[in-house]
Amino acid sequence: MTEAAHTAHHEPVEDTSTGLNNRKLLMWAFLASDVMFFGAFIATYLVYRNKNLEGPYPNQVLDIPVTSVSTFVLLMSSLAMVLALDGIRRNKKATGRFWILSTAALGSVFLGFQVFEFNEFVHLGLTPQTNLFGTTFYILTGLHGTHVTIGVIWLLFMALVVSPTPKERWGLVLAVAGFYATMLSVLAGIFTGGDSSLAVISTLVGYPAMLLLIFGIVGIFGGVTILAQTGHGDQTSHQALDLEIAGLYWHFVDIVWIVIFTVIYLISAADGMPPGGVPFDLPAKH
Amino acid sequence: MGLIARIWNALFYHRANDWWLLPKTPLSDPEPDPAYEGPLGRTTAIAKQWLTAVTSGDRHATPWYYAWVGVILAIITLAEVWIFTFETLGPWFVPLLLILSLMKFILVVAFFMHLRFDNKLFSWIFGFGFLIGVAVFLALLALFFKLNG
Repeated sequence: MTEAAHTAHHEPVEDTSTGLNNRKLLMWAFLASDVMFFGAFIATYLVYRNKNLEGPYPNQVLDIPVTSVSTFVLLMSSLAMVLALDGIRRNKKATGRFWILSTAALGSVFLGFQVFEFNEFVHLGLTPQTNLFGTTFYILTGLHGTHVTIGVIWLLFMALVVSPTPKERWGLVLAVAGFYATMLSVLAGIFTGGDSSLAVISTLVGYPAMLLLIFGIVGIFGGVTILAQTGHGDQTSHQALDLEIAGLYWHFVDIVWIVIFTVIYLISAADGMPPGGVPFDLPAKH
Repeated sequence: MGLIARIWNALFYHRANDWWLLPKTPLSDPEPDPAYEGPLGRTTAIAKQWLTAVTSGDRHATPWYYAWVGVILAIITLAEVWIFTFETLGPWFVPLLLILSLMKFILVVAFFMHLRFDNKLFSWIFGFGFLIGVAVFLALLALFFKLNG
């Protein structure tokens, strides 16, 4: 890779005792504390691994192919995040904003997978109250999902910050509303026949779901078209630090999932009934 | 200079290049110490140059560079799922998955979170928290298994 292929990066020297930006330093300190937070919950999961004597057991419910896809989606959201920061740093606002919205969209798709997974598990008889596996699993993955949700809201806010004109905001609202309408209708399609535990999804069957899908697709195309036409030539590098801090949080959420996917899904997926456990028959497939 | 310090210096330090050199070159030797003298020769210098070139040193990378990191992350995830399908790996199963997971962790932290390019203080802060987190993790596991046998 040649020198020209790289962009020289010069961090401005801040007027602080460290010479570094205090907000960025605070974010790194927060992430360091969050490592301990998740470390404790992952350890708790491992401590109680294979200790529940009542089913359902991990090998009966965990679906590795589905979770592999959601893991891939979250990894790609990290790539989109770093491309967003790159675009904003280079004053390419339309590109940066496209990748910010892509990151939020991929994060939302990951959350959609989590909704799907939790719904499946509840139907198979696994709730947080069922057994030790259910308690430790839902707390860990639920807390991670909460982090992702906060990240998505933060990213949507960042997209709003880099879209100051009314036209840009209309485009943004249209694109975001269209995306979530599409996602809701797709989830409704997956949970056919009102099978979901979520009332808002279970009521979306037939024509309402189809109308929502049409509105969603039109909204995405309309919104993205408006956004692509606006913001060219704007200076955005002054917003790079705000986005970088949001990005650090987002990447951290990604690395936590890397560990969760390995420890809980891949390593524990073969865990069956421990000695002394009560056999559990899964309910018939709904 | 204390005795221990003198022994330490005699064992591990030399006047040139900070390399340990056995036997010690006499001061009267008119020949200068050769470059890259040491047990590994020029290997470490080449490895360092290569690493700096591949990881783009102290600069931010281009979008294509990030895309390549993304591709590597996707390939590692694919490898993890592929390994998962093997039932014959036995005791290698968990260590292999943990190593692949660690590789992904390092790639994201180093390149996507820019620790490779950023001020070292950020690496120290995060590294310190990470080490305490791992210590808490191991202490919890050790405590539980000690109490439960």
